[in-house]
Amino acid sequence: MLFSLLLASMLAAVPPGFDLNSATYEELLDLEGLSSEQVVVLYDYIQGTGGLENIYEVVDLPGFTPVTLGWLRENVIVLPAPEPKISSQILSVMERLAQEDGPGDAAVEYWEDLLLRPMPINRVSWWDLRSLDRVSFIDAASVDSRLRSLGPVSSVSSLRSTENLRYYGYRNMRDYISTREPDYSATDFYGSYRFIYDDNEGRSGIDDGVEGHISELKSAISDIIAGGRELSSTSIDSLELITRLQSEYAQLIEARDVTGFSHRVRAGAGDRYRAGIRLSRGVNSLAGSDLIAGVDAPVNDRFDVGKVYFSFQDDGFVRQVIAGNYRLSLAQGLLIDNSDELMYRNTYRTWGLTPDLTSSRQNALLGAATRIEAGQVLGYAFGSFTPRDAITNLDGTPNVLYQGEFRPEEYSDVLDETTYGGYAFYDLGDYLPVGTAIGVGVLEIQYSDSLNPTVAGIDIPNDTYTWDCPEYAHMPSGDRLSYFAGSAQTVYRNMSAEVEAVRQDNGAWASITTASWQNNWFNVTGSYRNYALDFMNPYNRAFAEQHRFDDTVFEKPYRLNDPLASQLADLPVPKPEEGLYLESRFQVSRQVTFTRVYLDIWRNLAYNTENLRFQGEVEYRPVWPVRFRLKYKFQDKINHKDIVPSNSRTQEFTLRTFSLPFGGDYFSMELRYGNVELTPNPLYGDDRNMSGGFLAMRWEHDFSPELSVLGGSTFWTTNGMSQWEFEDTGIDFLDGDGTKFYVTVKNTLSDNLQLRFKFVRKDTFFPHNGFYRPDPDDQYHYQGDPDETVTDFGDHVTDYGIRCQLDIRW
Amino acid sequence: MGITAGGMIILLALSGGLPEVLWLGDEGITGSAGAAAMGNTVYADVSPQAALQNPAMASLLPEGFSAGITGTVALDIEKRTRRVYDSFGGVVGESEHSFNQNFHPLPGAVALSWKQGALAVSAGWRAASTFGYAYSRVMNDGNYVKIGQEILDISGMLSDFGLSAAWTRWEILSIGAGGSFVTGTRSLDHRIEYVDPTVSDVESGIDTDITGMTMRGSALVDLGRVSISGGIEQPMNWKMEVESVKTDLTLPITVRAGLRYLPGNRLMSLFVADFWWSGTSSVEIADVDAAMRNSWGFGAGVENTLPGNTIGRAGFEYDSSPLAGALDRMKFTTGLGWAIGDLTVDAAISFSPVRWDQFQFDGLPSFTPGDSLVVESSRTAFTLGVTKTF
Repeated sequence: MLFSLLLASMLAAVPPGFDLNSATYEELLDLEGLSSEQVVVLYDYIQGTGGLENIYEVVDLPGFTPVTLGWLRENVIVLPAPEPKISSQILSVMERLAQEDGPGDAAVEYWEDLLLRPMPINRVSWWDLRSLDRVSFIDAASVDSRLRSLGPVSSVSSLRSTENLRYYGYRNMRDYISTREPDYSATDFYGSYRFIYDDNEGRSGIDDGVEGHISELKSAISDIIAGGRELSSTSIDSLELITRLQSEYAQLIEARDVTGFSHRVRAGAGDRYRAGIRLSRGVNSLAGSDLIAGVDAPVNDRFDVGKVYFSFQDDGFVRQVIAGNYRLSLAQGLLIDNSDELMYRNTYRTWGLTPDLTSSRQNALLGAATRIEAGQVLGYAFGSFTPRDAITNLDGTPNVLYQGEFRPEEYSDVLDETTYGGYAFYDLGDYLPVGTAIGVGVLEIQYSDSLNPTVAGIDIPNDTYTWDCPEYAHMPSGDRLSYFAGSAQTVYRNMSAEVEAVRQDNGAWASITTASWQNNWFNVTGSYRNYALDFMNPYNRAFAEQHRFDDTVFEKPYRLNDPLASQLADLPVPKPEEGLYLESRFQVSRQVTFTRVYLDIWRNLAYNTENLRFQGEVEYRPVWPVRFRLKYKFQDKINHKDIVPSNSRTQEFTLRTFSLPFGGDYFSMELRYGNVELTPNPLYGDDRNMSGGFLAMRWEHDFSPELSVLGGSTFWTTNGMSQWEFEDTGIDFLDGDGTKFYVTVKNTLSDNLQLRFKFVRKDTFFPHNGFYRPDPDDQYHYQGDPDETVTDFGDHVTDYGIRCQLDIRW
Repeated sequence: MGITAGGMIILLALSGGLPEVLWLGDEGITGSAGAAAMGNTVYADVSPQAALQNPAMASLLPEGFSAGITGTVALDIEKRTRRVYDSFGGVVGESEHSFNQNFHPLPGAVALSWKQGALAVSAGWRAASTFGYAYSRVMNDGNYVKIGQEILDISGMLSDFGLSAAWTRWEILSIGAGGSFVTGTRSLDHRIEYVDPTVSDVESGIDTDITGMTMRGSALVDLGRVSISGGIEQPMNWKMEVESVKTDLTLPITVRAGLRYLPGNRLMSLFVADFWWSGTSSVEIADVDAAMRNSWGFGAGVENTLPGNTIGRAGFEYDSSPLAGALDRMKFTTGLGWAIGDLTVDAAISFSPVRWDQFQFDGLPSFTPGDSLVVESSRTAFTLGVTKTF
């Protein structure tokens, strides 16, 4: 009997330190102070909320009394559940990075990695820190100098007092560095999966998207069939050309219904091993050629970008080896930066070798690359073998390499490219100021087929336009390109200077020199660049004002045999230009700051025309939660024409205000007006003035750190001058007159799961008047119904867009 | 022969291009309003209605009786435009051809479940799909004088009377089975009324009766914070009947999966997702291949308890169409919910746009000459639901 009582007493006793939050359902049922109904309620509450914050919360649960609370207080404890931190931090940092004129995808992906596994600050050098967003060369060298002279730091915040390090640089650095030591023997497994769904419904891309290309192709086909191009007097086989255009047209029609999907998996073990894979297809994209050539698999129909990498890191002689897809960006990007993006007027650049799972395709490198550190020498070596897209002549031979959103079969994977080279830097920081280094690099590119850039394959013969495009005339021909580079850089106190020069095997040179001076309240950067007309490096992403084919015939698809060749205008290579660029930031007081003021004076070396661009923005902050920014932009550009050059003067005024009216709310408003004054042209009715503007509002409410809803709306009107607006996390093109709104929901469910939904509706109005045409051969008409009269009408275009992102981490 | 196989060609000729309503209709709101607000994730829904679709899910319902009812009203907007070309063949814009706007109530579902220990049983009725379309157009001659009016009206519904049972074993595994009888009628009325009394009006109507059975089986693994379910549906003995002529429909198996994840945070968040795939390329109408394509879809959504104990929900859904890629639909959803004792009231709004060209369907007769007709339509649906446990 006694034994039974003792046993019952032992069974009923609550173990010391019994934690309600981590107890199982069965363990809760064993508690004598709770009924089974109370256990059901309590267990659901703990599961649903992640745990009790304190024991007193139970009194709010149905069925719980003060007596129950008293019993629980005496017998159990409540250990706090860990709060999710990393995921919400990633969301906020990534949004900060996704700004107008912000960094590219590859850099953002690299920084996201660093948020999860920060750089071990006591092991890094200035070249590592230069890869961080808005951390200047001087900031990076200052930290390196402090570490070399005073030894390791015990906390990141102790870097704050580093001489010549701006607070701005420190603030942008601190999220990505830590005092942890790398552990190359560790095998802790971690990873992430990201799924993105991207779709639209409507007539998106009327101007330069899929609908625009469809219209241009249809027009070209009609023109050739009607005999408008006089091809019979040329060597062009009109039947062959029509067949090609019809094939491309059919492919684009299919592309209209293509939904964007992206799957990305990344995993790692300790600090030594990392691997990743990406399969994706862009919205409205053509699949092009097979993703995996020669394999009849569904993957070829579903995806157009496939990437994979395996990365090995160590602290020995070989610091890193990447097999698969990688991104390399060194010095000032004149020799090698294989991004698909060229950021205009960008003086910040990520430095180094990183795995590449971005959506870039045409400039992706696939092979192996390594980073070596031996004493004072930092070296990179790389090799790649991968197919490339090219605009092709009618006989199928490659004309020029191009990078386009739309990859018809005729242009896709036309040739194979073998790329290899290296860049070595000698660090003189032990003898000269830390940050001083000299470097030499080589780059060799070989193609499996000779490039043959002939105008006859591109230009419409006998039309009114006289072909004159020096940028095209100096595109590479043949099957081999090689480049040699030299660079030097130094930092002295709060000043820096860098120079890089590259020579192409045809004798052409390109060079860029950049110098900076900075302190906490003022900085100035000056840059001089000179890219020769006959210099053409497909991996050149150095500072530029314009893309190589901006303001050329390739922006006018109706002047090309194949309108899709107009995508050459997107080639992310700088225009041949010589220019001087000056940029500054000046904080006058706590209330007034000139956030960015720059002046670029450059010469277009294709035509030797002089151009100028100025932009200034001043911020006024009367009280901490309210800011006003006034921006003015002026651009004077001369475009070459046959007889008299035309001139365009653009002015743009922007007023923005940001405020934090209540806790958890963020409100911003932007008002813009711009106008362009052009040289009168009878072809366009001598209209010499175009204008446009918009009013945009945005409001974000945080329900909690884990849930926020953002809504925005824009109203615009244009009279010939289209507008570009930065919307949430991307740029939007505004034409005609219209309105739009968008809603974004950001939900961090836990450190393991994040969600982001975005919905956009955009309404654009285009009035169409003056349809009377006396010439019966020049009538507006409905397809297949030429006799029905078309009267004036207003075209109302409604577009819907959705983008959903799901992140799972472990 | 394409989707115009069998007797469908008659309907297509009359309606001039309405492929959705001419197949098996628009999918109804067959789960709870809460699921409707989270991307219509019926297969991850815990409600008496959803238990008819995913029998094993009934094991997650509370002990005793649960009853649920939903209803929907929908606003359909359709704009038909024609592309205008210049003499070079370039598209100038799109001119409006007709504009139709219809507001109609749609039934949802009503179901009752009973759970005791390891056993759960559900029964109820659901509007499996609806046929709702109204179109009217003023007809003008070349001088813009009205000569008549064309009216097309399609209505009807497929009712699903279902029964299911679930049994739980080892506390984490549940299996379920069920079946339903589907029956309904699609009515099509097409009229052309001329102003000139000497010209005879055109009027025709077709009623199509559709009947069939669907058997279902599913399994659920409940791991506490995460529960995963999967199952299959097999339609059997489906028939279409037009004017006493019966046509066999051979419909394929559908595979479904659902996920519920309770992260455990201060917002009491819930993440749900579901996925389905159907081998619709094997659909046959009167033993003739309907030349459809395999179809699939997914939905995902999230629920958060906001300050004041109001539940906020959002989600999206993507469904590929077995008929053509141009009819693939995305749907945005959101909603609110309130719990009042054992009674929960949920509201959901969904919006689904779609745009397609007349020439994107093989065998579809031209509604207007040439290839320039474009149809833009959207459905905005408001769903209200109540669930009560006893």
